[in-house]
Amino acid sequence: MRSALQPLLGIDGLVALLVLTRDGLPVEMFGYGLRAEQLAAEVAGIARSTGKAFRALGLGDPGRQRISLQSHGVDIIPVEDYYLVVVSDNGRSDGPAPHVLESTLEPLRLLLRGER
Amino acid sequence: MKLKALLQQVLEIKGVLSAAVVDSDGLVLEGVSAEGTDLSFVGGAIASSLASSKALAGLLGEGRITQTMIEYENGPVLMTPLEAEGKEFIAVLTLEAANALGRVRFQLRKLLPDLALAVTQ
Repeated sequence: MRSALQPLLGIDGLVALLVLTRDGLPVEMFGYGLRAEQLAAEVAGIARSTGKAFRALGLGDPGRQRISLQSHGVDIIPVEDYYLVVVSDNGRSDGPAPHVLESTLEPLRLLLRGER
Repeated sequence: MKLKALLQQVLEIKGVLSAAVVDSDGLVLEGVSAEGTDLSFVGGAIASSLASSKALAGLLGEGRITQTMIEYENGPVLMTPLEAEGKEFIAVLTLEAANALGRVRFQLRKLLPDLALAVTQ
C-alpha cells in the first residue's frame, strides 16, 4: 500500500492519507494526530450523502470531492470499492495536483482489485 | 433584494446550471434552474452532508467549512455556507463543467454577502 501511495506521501503540506471502505472502515492511514476510525466514519457519511443528493438530478456518479476548511483541505476520491482521502494544509497546498493523483490511482486500483 | 432575484443573478454567471439555498435542516428556501430542474429533494442529503463535514472539521480542530466542491460525471457541484443572524444556510450551485469553477467562485464571492442578507428577510 505504501508504495502505491508514494507519490501522494511526498506532496507538500500533507497532513494525513487514508484509504477506507465505502462503509467507513479504515484500511490504511498515514499521518499523525488523527483518529483513523473517526475520520473514516465521517468521510463515509459525507460521501454517502453527496452521492445520494445529486445522482437523482442526473449528474451521474460522484468523483473527487474537496472540502475546504479554514486551515485544511480534505479530498475524497472514490477508487474501486474504497475511498482515498487526502488531508492537506491549506496554507501549503491546494491538495494533490491532478498528475500526482493520476500517478497514484492506477497502482492503487490494481492493488485494491488484488491484481498487484 | 429578494432571494429569488439574487439566485437569478447567480444563474446568469456563465457555466451555472442551477442555484439554490438550503437551510441546516435541509429545507430548500429557494431554487432557480436554467433547465427547470426540480431542486426540492436535494435539501435533506445536503444537510446530512453538512453535518458530517462539520464533524470532520471538528476532528481536524476547525470550526468552519469554507467551501465544498464535488465533481460528478456530468458536471461539478459547489456548496458554500452562508451565515446569517447566527443561522446556517448553504448556497448550492450545479455547474456545466469543471473549467467554469474558477470563474463561478470568483463571481459568486461578490454575491455572497447579499445572499446571506436575503435569506433572513
